[in-house]
Amino acid sequence: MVIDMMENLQGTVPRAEPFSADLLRGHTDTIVLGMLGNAERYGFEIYKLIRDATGGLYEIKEATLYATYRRLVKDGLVEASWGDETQGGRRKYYRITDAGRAVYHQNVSDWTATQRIINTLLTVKGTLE
Amino acid sequence: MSAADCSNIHRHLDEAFAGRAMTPELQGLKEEIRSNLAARVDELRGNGAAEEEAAATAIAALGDIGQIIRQESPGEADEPASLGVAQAPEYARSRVRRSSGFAIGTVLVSVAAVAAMLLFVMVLGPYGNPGLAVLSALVAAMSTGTIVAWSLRQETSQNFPVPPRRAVSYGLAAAAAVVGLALCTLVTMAGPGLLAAGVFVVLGSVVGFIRLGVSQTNRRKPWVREAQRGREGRGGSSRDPAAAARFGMHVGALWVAALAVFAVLSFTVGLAWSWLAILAALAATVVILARMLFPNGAPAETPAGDEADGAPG
Repeated sequence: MVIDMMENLQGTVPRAEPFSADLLRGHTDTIVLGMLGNAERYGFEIYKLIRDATGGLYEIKEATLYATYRRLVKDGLVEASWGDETQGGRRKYYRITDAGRAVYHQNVSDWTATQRIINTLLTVKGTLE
Repeated sequence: MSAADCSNIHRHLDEAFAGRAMTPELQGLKEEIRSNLAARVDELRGNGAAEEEAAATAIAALGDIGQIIRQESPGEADEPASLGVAQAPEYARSRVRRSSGFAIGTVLVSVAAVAAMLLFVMVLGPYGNPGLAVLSALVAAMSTGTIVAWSLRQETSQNFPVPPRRAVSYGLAAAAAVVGLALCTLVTMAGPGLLAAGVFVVLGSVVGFIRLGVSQTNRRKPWVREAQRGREGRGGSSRDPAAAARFGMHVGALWVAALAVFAVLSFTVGLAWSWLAILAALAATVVILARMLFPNGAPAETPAGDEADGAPG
């Protein structure tokens, strides 16, 4: 499971999350690119940004994020560099590249168009009421 | 972080990575996960959690790292057998049609730039027309800057476009180089004060190029990087961290030499020819810059030391 609902931690009966986790997972790369913005950030920072941006509703497992970072670095969409922390392990910082920016903007506009099509198709009158 | 939750995290990581040959990649992954776990434990403890509990929560939230460890392990991830076959469809998919507007536009702007430069040379000289010279130099500078910025904004099959602000910065630096050179050349009309101003502007342009070059990030498309990785074998370093420093030293040495040659020629042969030293140095600077930005563009491997001897004679 990639998604953790906050309520699931306390509730006895696990309830499916009220959104499509698969759909969201398909956009993890783009989400991470967006979180990088113009700053250099390390893993837990990115994780927190995603968690806080959705008010804790959507939490990506960190393990998934590591795979994303590897993929983004391999494709040249982000660049990684080590920080100079001495306590608690060195942090790996990521920053977006020009290629990453181009891919991010492309993915965002693709999503905007897709989302419009789905909205149109799913609100067709008379299919199921 | 105290010793207790530290040891929990370390134990968990050691167990997860047990039995793997610790390559630098895996070592780096382990270190990265460790630092992020530590950051999360710090946050949990800041919210009032107990040590053991914080470490346990952090480890639980981490999820299954077995898969990513397997992917990073040597011998499991590299599968491409025949590069040419594998990349042909990739290339076709990322193929970008050339924009005819850009092609026609750059040709027209180039014609304007060349015409302006010719005019500039013609009206130069003690009996020339200073107003016309300034005007043509401005046109040349503006068209050079436009071509540079416009080209960088183009998406190609291999490269993503440079973001607008960076492209404009490159264009401005190129235009400043032309303006500076023109000022240096105008010294025949308006005296040595302009020479100082020109050298100043050229140096500003060089500094601009250095800053842009040092902060330049990857703009190649993933399939190009894949192809390069295949060609280079296991060497995966895409950017040489020493290249930027080398570039700075080469350009510095080049310009010191060029200015010295310029001064000597000015006193011996005269200003009519000495400006060629500045021109040659600028051309060499652009070549060095290109070599730093696109190190894989030139297939011929030349030792890194012999780049700066393009100083004119």
